[in-house]
Amino acid sequence: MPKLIFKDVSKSFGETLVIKNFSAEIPDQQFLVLLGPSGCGKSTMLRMIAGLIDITEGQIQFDDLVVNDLEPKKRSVAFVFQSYALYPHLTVRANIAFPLLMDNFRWWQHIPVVGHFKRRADLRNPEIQKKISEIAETMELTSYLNRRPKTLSGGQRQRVALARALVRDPSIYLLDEPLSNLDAKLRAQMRVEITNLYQKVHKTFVYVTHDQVEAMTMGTQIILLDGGVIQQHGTPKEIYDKPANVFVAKFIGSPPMNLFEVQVDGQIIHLPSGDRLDLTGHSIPNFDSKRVIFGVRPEKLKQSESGEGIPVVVRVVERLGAETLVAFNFAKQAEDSRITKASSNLHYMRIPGDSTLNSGDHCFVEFNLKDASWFNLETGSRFQ
Amino acid sequence: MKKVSLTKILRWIFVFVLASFAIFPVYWMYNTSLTSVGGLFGGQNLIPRVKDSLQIFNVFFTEVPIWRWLRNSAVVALGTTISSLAMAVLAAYGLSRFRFFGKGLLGFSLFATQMLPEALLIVPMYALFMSLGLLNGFTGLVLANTAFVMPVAVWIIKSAMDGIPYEIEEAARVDGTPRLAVLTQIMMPLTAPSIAAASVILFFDGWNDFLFASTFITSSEKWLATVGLASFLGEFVTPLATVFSAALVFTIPAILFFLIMQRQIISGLTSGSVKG
Amino acid sequence: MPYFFVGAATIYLILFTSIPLLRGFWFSFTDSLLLAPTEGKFVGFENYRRYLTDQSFYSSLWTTIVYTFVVVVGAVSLGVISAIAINEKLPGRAIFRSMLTVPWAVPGVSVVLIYNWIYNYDSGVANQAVRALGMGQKGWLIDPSLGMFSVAFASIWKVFPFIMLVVLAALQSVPEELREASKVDGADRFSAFKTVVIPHLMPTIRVASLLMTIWSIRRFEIIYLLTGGGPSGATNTIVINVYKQAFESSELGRAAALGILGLLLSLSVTIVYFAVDRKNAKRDSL
Repeated sequence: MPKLIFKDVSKSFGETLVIKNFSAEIPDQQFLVLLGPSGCGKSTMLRMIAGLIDITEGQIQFDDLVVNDLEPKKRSVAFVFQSYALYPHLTVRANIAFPLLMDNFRWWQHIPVVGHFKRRADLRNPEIQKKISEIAETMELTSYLNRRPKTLSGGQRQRVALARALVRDPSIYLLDEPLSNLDAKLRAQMRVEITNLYQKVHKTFVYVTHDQVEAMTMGTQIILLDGGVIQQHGTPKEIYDKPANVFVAKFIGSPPMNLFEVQVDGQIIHLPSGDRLDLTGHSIPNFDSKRVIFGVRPEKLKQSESGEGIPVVVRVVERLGAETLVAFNFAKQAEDSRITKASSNLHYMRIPGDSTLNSGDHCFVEFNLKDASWFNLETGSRFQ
Repeated sequence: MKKVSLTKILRWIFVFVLASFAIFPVYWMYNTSLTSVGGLFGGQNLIPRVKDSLQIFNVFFTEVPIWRWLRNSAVVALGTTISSLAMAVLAAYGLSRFRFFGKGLLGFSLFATQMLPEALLIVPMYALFMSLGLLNGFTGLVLANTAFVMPVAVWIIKSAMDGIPYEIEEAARVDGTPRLAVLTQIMMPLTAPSIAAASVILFFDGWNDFLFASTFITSSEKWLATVGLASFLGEFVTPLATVFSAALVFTIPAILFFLIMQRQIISGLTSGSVKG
Repeated sequence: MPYFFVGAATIYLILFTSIPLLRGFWFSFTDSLLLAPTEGKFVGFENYRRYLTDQSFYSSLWTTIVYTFVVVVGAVSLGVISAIAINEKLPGRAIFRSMLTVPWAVPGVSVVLIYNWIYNYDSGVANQAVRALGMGQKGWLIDPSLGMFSVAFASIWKVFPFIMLVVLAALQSVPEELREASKVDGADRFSAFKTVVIPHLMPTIRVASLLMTIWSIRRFEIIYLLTGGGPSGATNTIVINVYKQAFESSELGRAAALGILGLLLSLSVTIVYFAVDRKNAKRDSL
């Protein structure tokens, strides 16, 4: 039951550095999500934990044991792949049993045909049979055991892949974007199944994804990676409420956090449109500069009934039923047509579903300044 | 009744003519093998007697030692297949899955062997085998044929392995599969069609070899079928029906196997060559 | 680890290909004889000089080029035509395709036996046909003006199915959307073929032609057994010449030098091919 420790782990392929000084400590039995855009190095990280690729520098420990040079087999990990990576030439039964079959592999099984018969004999071993039928039952695969993977649906293949991971009873489960090949409905269902599985086996899970919904709903801890560097490590709530930098603020949340480059003048901040917000009554950090980035989540904005607040022009309205997403420009900027065309100048608010706003409408927006985020303009990092 | 267009009929006739052109010499070999000496020179009958087909196997009961020739050919062909396949499967896996110093050079050398005329290499090989005492033996033939045809097998098997996703192999390693077992338990079964195609090419390279067999083998006891059949050329004692029966018995296995495996052979050869 | 896998094949190629090649290269600078290959004296470029100043070398070179050209052009056009002809649905297509594949599988020695009989002066079926057409008898393998044709014909017959099968595989991989797109654009069948199918086939045809060229330059048994280089040198390609120098005249050194010259021919074809290929690839990417 190990604690997972990373000490300054780096990885380079030839000249390109894909992971830079990755350090973290994950207590036992956590559901850790490695989150980040594609190409951020998260899959590479997972493969280093599994021992499928070498670590260039630094070390990975399971408790006190440095695993850098251990074969995958000796690390007691299970890996679920994005493409499921089932063995197409073997039945579902043999796929699930494969780790067990490899435990007593003899050299003479290299000989074609002979190996085949040895495998079939092993599959009839009562101990193995018992284990397979137990796991097949939990994963609801019993009636598919004699089929080949290519005759199964995506969800069933996914369950075979999970069953194969379960059979070895590993101490760490590694999952590499396991849901990305499924359709939306199945994905939601499998998300629940994996969470259930985690709660049942209660082992360490490391789960790689680029999908923030998966990260927020499943993870007990999230590490957000970009360009091979850890951007933030924390619980889902910490990451959502207190993003460590501008990247995290933009990556997490849909629509993302509204960010404004503002001029601070005592208790007054000047928005880029020229509008002003009064911060009296709110605690704000000590800035070392007058110009900072001010961030506020869309749900902290609301349409003003009273005619106070900042005048805006509504551009797009997305009605999701329970809530409505509104994209807007500041009225003072809207006249400048060159700016309004750029979608980067759109800001978002999340308001109740019964709103009657339409695109083109003018209205006033109020800011709830409690729990606003402040970032350094140069470095992008958060002011506490 | 569907309307059959004129162009379609013309195309059918065209294909029929092409196919007849392709098959005629083989048909003629068969026809000749069933024609008596007298029939040959009075203008050969174009229509064969199907019910006499099995007569070609009478060649096994003639003076011609076809049985021994075929057995010798099979020994050399099997030897070539086994030795080439063992090296080719390993090398294909190494080339497909690893980056290492000298990989480019090795890949190029494999292609370059296709350029070497056997007639050039046979001279130094002859000298080499002479000093090793391998002339006039099957080992020498297997070694020489392997050198020329093993690269083709590497080529075919490598391109098949290139098509197997890495994740399957990674899964096997996490599941505790020893490295060599990844090859024998996962990669080889998954590329079995290509390995079979390569085996057909390897086997019939040994089976068809004439150059090395006629140069290295001196005693007629050890003649391969190719050399034996070639000895009929310019010799007028053996009846043509016997000659062509022997040739057919020698040719039919090749035709059968190539027809069965043509799809795999072609896909292996093309994907290998278009890339490399 | 990778060296474990490629090791055996590499060592094998070094022992039985590279070293013999280097040794052949060395022989080409000596006056070695077949029965005592190691006792030759170093003679510098003498062997090469003799070939390069000898008219018969150039005629052998020319014969090689003519043979290669005829076989490649013949096999490629016949192969491409056959592939296109049987690509579409046709009653009995599977049988026709098998029939068209057969020559490729026939062993060279059998090819020689059967063509030797077909070309037979008195009773061969070729002359029966020609006689029936009232064109008299032809000395297919005896007449110096026909020797090249007869040998090339047999060779084309043997190798064109390879081209056909390769092109057929490429034809079946023409993306359906491309054809549909050109149909939507209002192209008729022929122009769709020209603008969509042919460009798709070209890379395959180019590679297959290169292989065909290299294989033709080094082809041995069909020529050697059918004519032995005759009649009067009409089919005396470099490869045939090398073999005869070594094993009939026993002049290992001279044979090796000629072999190296033949290898240079293959090499230059390949280099030209890759140079052209690179230029084409550049043009295609623009």
